[in-house]
Amino acid sequence: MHQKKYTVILICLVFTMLLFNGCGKKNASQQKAKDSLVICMGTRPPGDFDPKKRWGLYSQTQILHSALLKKTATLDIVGDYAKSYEVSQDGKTWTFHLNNNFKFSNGEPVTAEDVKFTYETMKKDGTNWDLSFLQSIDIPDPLTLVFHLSEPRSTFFAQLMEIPILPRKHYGENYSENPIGSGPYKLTQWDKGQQAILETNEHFHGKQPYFKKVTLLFLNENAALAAAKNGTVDFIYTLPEFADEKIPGFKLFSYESNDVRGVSLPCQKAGFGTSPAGYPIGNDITSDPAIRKALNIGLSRQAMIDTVLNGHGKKAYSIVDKMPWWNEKTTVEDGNIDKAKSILAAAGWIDTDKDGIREKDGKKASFKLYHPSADVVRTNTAIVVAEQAKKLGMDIELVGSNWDEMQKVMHQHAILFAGGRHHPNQFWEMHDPAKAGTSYCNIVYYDNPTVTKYMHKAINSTNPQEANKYWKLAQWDGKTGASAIGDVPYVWLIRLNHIHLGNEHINVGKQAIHTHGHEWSVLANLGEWTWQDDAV
Amino acid sequence: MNKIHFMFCKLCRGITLLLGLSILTFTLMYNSPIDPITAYIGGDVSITLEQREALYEQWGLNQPPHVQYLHWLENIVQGDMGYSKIHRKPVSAIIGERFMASILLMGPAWVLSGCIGFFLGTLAAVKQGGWVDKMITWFAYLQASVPTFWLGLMLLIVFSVWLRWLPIGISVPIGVAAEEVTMADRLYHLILPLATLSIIGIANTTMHTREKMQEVLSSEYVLFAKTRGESTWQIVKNHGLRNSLLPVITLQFAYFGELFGGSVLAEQVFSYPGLGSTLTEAGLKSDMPLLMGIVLISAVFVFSGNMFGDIINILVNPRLQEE
Repeated sequence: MHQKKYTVILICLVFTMLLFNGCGKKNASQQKAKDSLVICMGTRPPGDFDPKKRWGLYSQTQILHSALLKKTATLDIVGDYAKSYEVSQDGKTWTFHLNNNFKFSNGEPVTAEDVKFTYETMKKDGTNWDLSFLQSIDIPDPLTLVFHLSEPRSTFFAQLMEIPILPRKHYGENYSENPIGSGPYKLTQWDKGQQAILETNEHFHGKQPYFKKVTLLFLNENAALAAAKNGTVDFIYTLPEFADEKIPGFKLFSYESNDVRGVSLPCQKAGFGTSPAGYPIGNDITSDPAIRKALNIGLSRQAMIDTVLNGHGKKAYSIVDKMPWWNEKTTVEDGNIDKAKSILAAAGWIDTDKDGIREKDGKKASFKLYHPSADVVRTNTAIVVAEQAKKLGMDIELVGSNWDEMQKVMHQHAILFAGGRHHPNQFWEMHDPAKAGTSYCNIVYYDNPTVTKYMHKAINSTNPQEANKYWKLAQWDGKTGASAIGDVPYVWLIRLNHIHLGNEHINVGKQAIHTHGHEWSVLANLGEWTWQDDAV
Repeated sequence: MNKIHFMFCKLCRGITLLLGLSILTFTLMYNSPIDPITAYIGGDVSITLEQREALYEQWGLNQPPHVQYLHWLENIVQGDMGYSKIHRKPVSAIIGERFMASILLMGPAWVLSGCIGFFLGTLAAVKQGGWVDKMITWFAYLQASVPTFWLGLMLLIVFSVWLRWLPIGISVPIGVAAEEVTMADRLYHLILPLATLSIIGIANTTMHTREKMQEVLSSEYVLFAKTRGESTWQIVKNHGLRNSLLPVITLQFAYFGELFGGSVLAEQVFSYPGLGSTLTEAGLKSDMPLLMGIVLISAVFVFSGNMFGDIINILVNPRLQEE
């Protein structure tokens, strides 16, 4: 008797819910043009709006600030606060001619003194940008800045584009709370852990942005997806596994990146010595060029993209793919198991005991691959690599680990590595023998004197074009190079697409190729975003 | 004299508890496999060795563990809780900011779960054996076995995503300037996390009240009262309430610990910016000063909950006072 009553109540409840459910969804796609946006980009702002806390390191500079130079969507370097610049013949003196119409969001003009203050502050802090080569800064007249370097450094462009110009009169410990800058937007409110409200900066020197107000909500990926379905947000950053979620009125915004994943292969033989931190270097198997080349050609990158990234990615051949300093000749036809096998056989790797794993000089073609087990993409990539390597007659033993342990073994075992920047500095760090063993630079102890020579020429170049020429030669000069057709110090495999879901009327402008990791890449040109009445 | 002695003992116990807890937390964190620098920079390959060493020095990580701990202890005794590494702000400022938000959530949840639980428990005891009793008991068992985060997610899916009645999270309306946020807005955003946290706390109180009330109702003095012609309501009011309230109050104060734990989970689900979500972040990123600060504050919170329970017990129960 009673049970019947509950059943009736339950049915009524479910029915009411369904009714309301239907009502909610109706109006999602019939929206009017709006001049404000709600965006979800992870749980907190990267670097809390303060360059001392890493704000600007990953393409966020041009939201609230301006810099001396900036990059275009095609990665060309153009003037920002500096309208033009010259580099002296010896590469040690950089002169900048400044604009005089830049203003901070509080109305005060941006001056050469502010730039000087910014660079000196960042150099002193020294934790986010390497400015150790910056000797002194002169201001011969109010619209001219001269940087004196202790040695030529063509990669200085990276810092010049990334470091946001700070107001020297208003910079202090609490800058995060009120980050006055000279960009298209200003921060009007920041409820920590919840939201940040950006409004247009009426003193901005350029064109006023289309969206008058942008609210950034700080939610995790699951909450963000719920918020998108609930209709409270217009644009979210999300994970590849959510890319195919269907939300009425929303579409997928997927952007190519040079955010690469690959396998680092120690280049020296075991017993090479120990790193400055005291960790052993060298691996007899991975140091064999045949093993590296066979993996590079034999592994199927497309299969990894399909399985690990749900199809949302691109093949990677280097850490500088698609960059102006990338040597386009260095790609390979991958997934070629026969060719990989013949490379191994020619080098003496033959499966004599018929256990499926090749041997040479009594050693099995077997090595360990460490991956951070908390990182799903890297872990899945490692699993696919090991699976595919079996077909080539190689045994890759997977070790789930963490960065602290990996730091100790990364010179003697393979690790699932990552990278990707809008500047060639990282290419230099990862292949220069002088940097080997320091932090995550050149963890494989790669050492090719020809490559090192080209890289030094690139660093000493006084203009980006000349530098790019040498960066390309360092990858392949026709005979040798630090690339997939050269020495293969790393087998780069996949580039992740950065996945977002957003209202189909949003036009995010021309996006530069995205860089390693960080969700805010898509916001780099927030000032150029618009609303289109006809859905794209 | 007795009371002073009692308070002194409690205070000593509190201090040793905090000391022990801080040593335990420090040891666990120090030995955790998370490197604070790596957690801070996120496995990034671009940081140079010099930069890394500068950070180590800046954060005082190059000193031996006991020096680090004593340094922290020395500061805390002077009232300085240290500097958070991930937020780059004084720990006291962060805790101050977040603790208020958490109190705003936990306070009402605590009162609500106590009142509702007590009411349901009394109702179940009075209607013992009837369908109301069965339903309430069944409901209590269900609540007790449902994990907080799951309940939170369900409420979120039903009321925010499907019905769109309530916001998906955070404690203020989206894109509205702080000056314009009304009390009603705040309450509106508080409904779901508050409901989650309250519902979880109800079961415990319900079952204890029910048990105690049943005990009272089956006592001889209640039988006597019945024979005198008192109605059920009068019996509950005159004999039941005071007798069964006591253990419930103690229990409700002791519940502070669970309340805090529940709040951590509810805050995660509803992106509510309280102490709980800050604690999780501090733990995952190995932010020692912040984590230690929050652990201490929450220990003080739970400890004082229990202490209040004891004190109120003594005040309300004259028998305990004499002992």
